[in-house]
Amino acid sequence: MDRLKNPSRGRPRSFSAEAERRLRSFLRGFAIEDEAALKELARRLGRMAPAASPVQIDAAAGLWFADLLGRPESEAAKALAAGRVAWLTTRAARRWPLALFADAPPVALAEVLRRGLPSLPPAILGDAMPAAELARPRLRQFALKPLRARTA
Amino acid sequence: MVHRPHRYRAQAWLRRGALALLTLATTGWASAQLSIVLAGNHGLGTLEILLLALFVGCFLWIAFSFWTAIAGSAMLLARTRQPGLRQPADPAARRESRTAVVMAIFNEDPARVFANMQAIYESVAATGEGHAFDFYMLSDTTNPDIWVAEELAWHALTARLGPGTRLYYRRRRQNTAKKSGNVADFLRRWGRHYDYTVVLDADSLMEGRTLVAMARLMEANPGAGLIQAPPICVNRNTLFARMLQFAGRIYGPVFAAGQAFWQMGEGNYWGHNAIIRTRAFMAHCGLPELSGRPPFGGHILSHDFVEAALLVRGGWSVWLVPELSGSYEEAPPTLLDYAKRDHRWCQGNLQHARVMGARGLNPVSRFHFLSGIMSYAASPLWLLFLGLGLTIAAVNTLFPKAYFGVQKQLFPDWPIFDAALAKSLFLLALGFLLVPRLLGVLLVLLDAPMRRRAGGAIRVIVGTAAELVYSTLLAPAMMLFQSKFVATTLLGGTIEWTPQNRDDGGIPWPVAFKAHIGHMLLGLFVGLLAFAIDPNLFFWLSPLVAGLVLAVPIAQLSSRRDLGAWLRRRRFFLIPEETAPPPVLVRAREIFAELQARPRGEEDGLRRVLTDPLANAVHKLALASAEEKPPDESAELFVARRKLANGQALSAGEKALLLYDRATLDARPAPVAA
Repeated sequence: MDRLKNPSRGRPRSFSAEAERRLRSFLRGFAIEDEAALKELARRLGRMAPAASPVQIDAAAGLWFADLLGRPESEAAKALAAGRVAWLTTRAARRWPLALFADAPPVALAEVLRRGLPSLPPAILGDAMPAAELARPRLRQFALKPLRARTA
Repeated sequence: MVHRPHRYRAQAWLRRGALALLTLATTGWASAQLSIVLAGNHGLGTLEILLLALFVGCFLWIAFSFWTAIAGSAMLLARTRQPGLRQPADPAARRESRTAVVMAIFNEDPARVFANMQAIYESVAATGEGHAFDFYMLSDTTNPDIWVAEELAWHALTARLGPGTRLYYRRRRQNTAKKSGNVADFLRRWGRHYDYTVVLDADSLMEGRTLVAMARLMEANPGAGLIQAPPICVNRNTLFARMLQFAGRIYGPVFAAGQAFWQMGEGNYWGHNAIIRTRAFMAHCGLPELSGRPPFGGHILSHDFVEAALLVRGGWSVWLVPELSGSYEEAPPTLLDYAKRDHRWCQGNLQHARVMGARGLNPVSRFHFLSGIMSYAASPLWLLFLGLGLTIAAVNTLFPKAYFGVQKQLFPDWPIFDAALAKSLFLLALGFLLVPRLLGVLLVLLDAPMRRRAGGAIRVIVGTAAELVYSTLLAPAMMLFQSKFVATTLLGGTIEWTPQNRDDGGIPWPVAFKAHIGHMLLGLFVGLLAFAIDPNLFFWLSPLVAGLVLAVPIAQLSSRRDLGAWLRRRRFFLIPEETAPPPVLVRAREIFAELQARPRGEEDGLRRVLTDPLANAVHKLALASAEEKPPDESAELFVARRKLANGQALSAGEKALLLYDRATLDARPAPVAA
């Protein structure tokens, strides 16, 4: 969790109403409805994403899930998406509402989430499939080919 | 490196040569007999020569089909496998190769397709070879409600199957080039992860052991680019579909074995229930867009034949393996659904006229194209043949030949019509159509378990006779349908490729009447004309006339599920897959019933994603795993957002746009108009 701690050790700051709304909206997506939990988690998430922009929130949350689920940082976006599904499917919000984005989440939470993790496809390779040539031979070439072959 | 184990080739050409010789010889003989009948003692006129030419064109295909079936029956009786296709040395060895099983779906009922996929997944897992397979649902769905339902069905399925399930879901934003584009998109993204790819249709079902056997066959045959398992039609309940299933199960193996007999390693691809060598397919089967406008230009619609031809051109072999059992699909439930599918296939096959001359194709591949084209072009040829025959008869009646010419002669010129020869020719044609069916029946009767599972000898024979009568009555309407499809395609008409109807719903009487009113009127006209010309002619044409005049009740009654069920209870038109259903069919049915029984929840996909956190999370996960980018800011997106904010009704396109829009997906639950 070290890489998450460094940028978020500062004093809790106050957010604009809009930033607060965004953070709470994001947290509601994790089925966090309890007001006290929302307040605490918004503060915690706010430390991780000081600008509270959607991109920053996603990035910070993605890193937290990648770390928790043992995924590389490059797959933070997928880790967030998959982690959120696992969080909701396993109803983790009921058992560990305050463990979300915690510096030291319970080991049991990580295990439960890993078990509930939906399957992600392998890496996209982006190969090419060259278009096949389907042109007809030109009549002249077609007619002359045997002659050419014979005289070669 | 491309392996070229073409040792079978000499044998293949010997077989093809023998079939061609027999086909040409029988067609030549039959045509010579017809020319004698037509010539009488007056010689052949222009109309007679035209009629003869049409007869040659039509009879060639009947004769070829006949000899193919004879070869197939011989193969089945002798229980011979295909030479040239090596069998796995150690069928029990643990497999190291990786296989992707991909199911292409397009606006299908999610419960049905995910039930099928779960049954296949479990069947593969039960073989102990699950580690070698990954599964993909490849969606081209355009309906946003079905799209979201698919995502949730996928998530529910992975949850049911437990941790470590390797079943993935991907939806394409643009369904360019339909199914071939869908599979190509998969190959570009993930193809290189896999040695082989099994392509399934939305209605495909395959036993795990069959998938494992196909993968093993690919391993044992490094020169094989594609192996096709012939699918058996199952799961239908209407009278039409049950007769289709029955016919496919009784006669189908004869034709499949016959095709395998002459195709050998230059076989064809039927578009699904086949395994492909991924790297070979990726290297050779990228389909170009044809120049010009549809129906002959644009994307290649019937991609399968073209892909098989390209694989063969690339030096890979393509095999149809009839002995691969455990491969299933579903037939269209009604005659009109069947005709609708035929219209699509007709357009696709006629488009192959643009491709069959392509440089470097194997002659057998060109023949596959020609064969596909002729399977539709034969109908207008037969129609012309019948029309011309009637015209000749009418001309002969209206303008009888003079018995005495201008010259003084002692004896009149009696018109000579060799009725016995005409009858023997008719019987020959009938025999060519019937014998393959009889061979199919004979093979079933000789196979005790199969015979029992098909209802017993009596029911097989009665069922075959009834199916024969039905298909005879159906043939004229199908001939007219296909002739119309060919004509509209040639005139530049196109048809929308919509998903096949997979429900057993019947055809209402008004719909049947509207679809067949033209057929009925034509039947009445032909019947009256034939009777006026000669009552004997009417007698000969009576099956055709009856088929046309009765087209409406035939279509309506055969679409009825209750009639199909009633006959099933009386054990008619049974197929072994009904009396002793294979595990994968049973399991798919169970899962489907379970899923149908569950509450459906919110059906508006966008509303569900915006109000249900889990649906939202699953949707975002599906987008993230497909690495879909959000849409660019556009006027359409702006309008769609405004409409959503104002609670206004949204079009399917607007909903789809919003389902990609991050700002919308991140927003608080909002009211969404229906």
